[in-house]
Amino acid sequence: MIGRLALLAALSGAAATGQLQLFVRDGPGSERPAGHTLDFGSVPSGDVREIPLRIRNLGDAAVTLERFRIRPPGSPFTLDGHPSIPHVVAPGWNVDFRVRFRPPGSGDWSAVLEINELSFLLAGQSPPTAILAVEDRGQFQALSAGETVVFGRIERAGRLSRRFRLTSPPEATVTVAALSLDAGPFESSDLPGTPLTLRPGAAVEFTITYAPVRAGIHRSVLRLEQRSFILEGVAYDPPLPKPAILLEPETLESARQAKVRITLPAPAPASGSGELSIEFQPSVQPAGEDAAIIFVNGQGRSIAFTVREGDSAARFGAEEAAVFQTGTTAGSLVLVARLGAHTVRHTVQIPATAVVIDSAAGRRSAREIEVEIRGFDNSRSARELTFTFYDTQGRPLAGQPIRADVAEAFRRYFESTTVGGMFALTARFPVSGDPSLVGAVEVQFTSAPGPSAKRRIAF
Amino acid sequence: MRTMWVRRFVHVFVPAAFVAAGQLQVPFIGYLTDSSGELRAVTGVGGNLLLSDPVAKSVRAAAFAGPFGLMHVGDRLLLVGPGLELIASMPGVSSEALVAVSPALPLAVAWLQASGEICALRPEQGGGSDCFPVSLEGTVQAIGVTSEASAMLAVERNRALWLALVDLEKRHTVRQMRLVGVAPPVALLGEEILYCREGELVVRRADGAEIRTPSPVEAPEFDLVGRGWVSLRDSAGARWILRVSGERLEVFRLPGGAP
Repeated sequence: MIGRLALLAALSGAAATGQLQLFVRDGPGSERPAGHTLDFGSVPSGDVREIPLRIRNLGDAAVTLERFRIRPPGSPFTLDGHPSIPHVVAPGWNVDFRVRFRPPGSGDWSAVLEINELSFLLAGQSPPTAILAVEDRGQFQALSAGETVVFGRIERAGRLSRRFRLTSPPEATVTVAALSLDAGPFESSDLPGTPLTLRPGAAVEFTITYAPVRAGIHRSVLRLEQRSFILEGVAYDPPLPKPAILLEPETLESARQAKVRITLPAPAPASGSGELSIEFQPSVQPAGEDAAIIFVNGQGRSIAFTVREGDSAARFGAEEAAVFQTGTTAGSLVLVARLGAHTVRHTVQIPATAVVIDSAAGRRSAREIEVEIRGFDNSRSARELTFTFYDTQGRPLAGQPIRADVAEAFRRYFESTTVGGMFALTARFPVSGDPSLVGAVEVQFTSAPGPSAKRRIAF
Repeated sequence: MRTMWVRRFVHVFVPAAFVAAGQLQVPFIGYLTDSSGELRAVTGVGGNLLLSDPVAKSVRAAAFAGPFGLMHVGDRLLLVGPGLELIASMPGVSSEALVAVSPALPLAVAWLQASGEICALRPEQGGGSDCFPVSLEGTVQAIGVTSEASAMLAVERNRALWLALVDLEKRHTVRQMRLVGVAPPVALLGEEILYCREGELVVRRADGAEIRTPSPVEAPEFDLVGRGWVSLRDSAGARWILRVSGERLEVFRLPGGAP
């Protein structure tokens, strides 16, 4: 044992002088009077031990702290969290601080803590111990117990290695009784076995490799005797490949339910999640809203999807495809897939078409005939509706066809609706004579793209 | 001669402004009840459908077709109009009820499972109900309206499905016939039977002719949504809607549900 620092002076004061008294804080809400000596015990070289302290004013008058120091300067004992002086301590009040012991080498160490007229001996020992260091840019940097060694960021399934060195102090032979690495993504193939005897100044090196199999922040512990060193690394998933959007069918028209799949050019190297959304740009006026352009197995115009590691296609919940409605408005429909750093867009045109009659029905009563037509006008340009009534023999009645100008009615309807070009039209025709002799009516719309297919409605 | 008569005496007059603004509206299909008992309006055309926010809750069963609907809400049967306006209410229906309405006739019917009664509700008669017991062996799986004075029940008995025609005026079962090759679940669409077989949805006409289309669901629950529209629901909550029109069946996915 090599004495490094002699006791500088006889202690000049007691643990408590006048109104001030020093306490050791053992824990939250717990304190005990400090003795003349504050013993830090045995601390390995490079490690740190702290003692939390409290100086309390027990008197009835304020006390000004005018001296608050450790002598000699440069000793391994340092103050932390202490007040700058002068500092007034009111009656009954206290000041908390810490004294830290960080021995730079093996041996016995001491110093004196002075607070006004009070003096306390600070004492500690550092046994000869192996010093652990880690290589950093070609230089080995000594590590303190509890210190974290950061390995860095790496793609999952990659490997990052760092070199460590155990060195014996130059003045003593040390024997390392325990050196181990906790289980986890940090591993070492050449970790020295124990007991390990190192002659004065001798060193042994080993490598620790960070080999994560999952993404995330990983920590492990390297244990050297009673000391622990934290090993930390961050792993991230490999980037997912750029997705592709596949439509079924590839060409679309209004009022269709189509499937869309997200495929990958290669099996996904990692699991991930993304979102598929629809953007729509109408090409007609008045455009209005088209609330039916939605994913029917999603929420509105977006749907989440997942990619599992090893899969070449995304899944939408339990389904392999998203199903969406094309609406009833002509325009550009853009499907946007976002997966990782990729954003892929697929544009498909919904062409303007003649009015489509989806269903039609007719009813006869004693005095009138009612015709109901359901369909859509995705060009918003319906202007004429033609009715041709037939008798029960299939021959046109006199005065046919009947043409109706519907442009203004449809324009006003489309300005107010939010469901695209869908409509239900009811037309009533007063009849003179016997309505039962009317056998059918044929209806046809005319709009900007042209005449619609004729629809014959039998009564 | 007849044609000449038509040409001479039948005239179809067109009012100048027959397509007034009020005559154009969003195509309304009917109402759909989901598994949580919420009732939503269904609008749209084939391939382009929309569901409204819930318009009623705690709906145990509902059937809509044409101008009327019959709902089982709480312990009441509610006969409603197309805007859900109340036409009549029948209290005291605390147990399960199967309901049906006619798309063309002013008649709604309900089968009360616990009491084994059939009830007829007629809007034209102020919605008054007429209930009477029907003696049937087996479990009634579906009910439908077949005429102004008759209803049909699909009854499962001894692992077979039977159709029982009930005369609502004479208050008894007119006849029963076994349905060969049909298993529950079924829906009765007037005199037509909707069922699922070997991955297909099948509509069997009264004359035995069948039309079919691939089914997206193995054993769907059927609900009458509107005239010619039947909803299908799978156990995961995904919903489709079947359109029965003429000689064609079409299936569309309904918004909402999985994933």
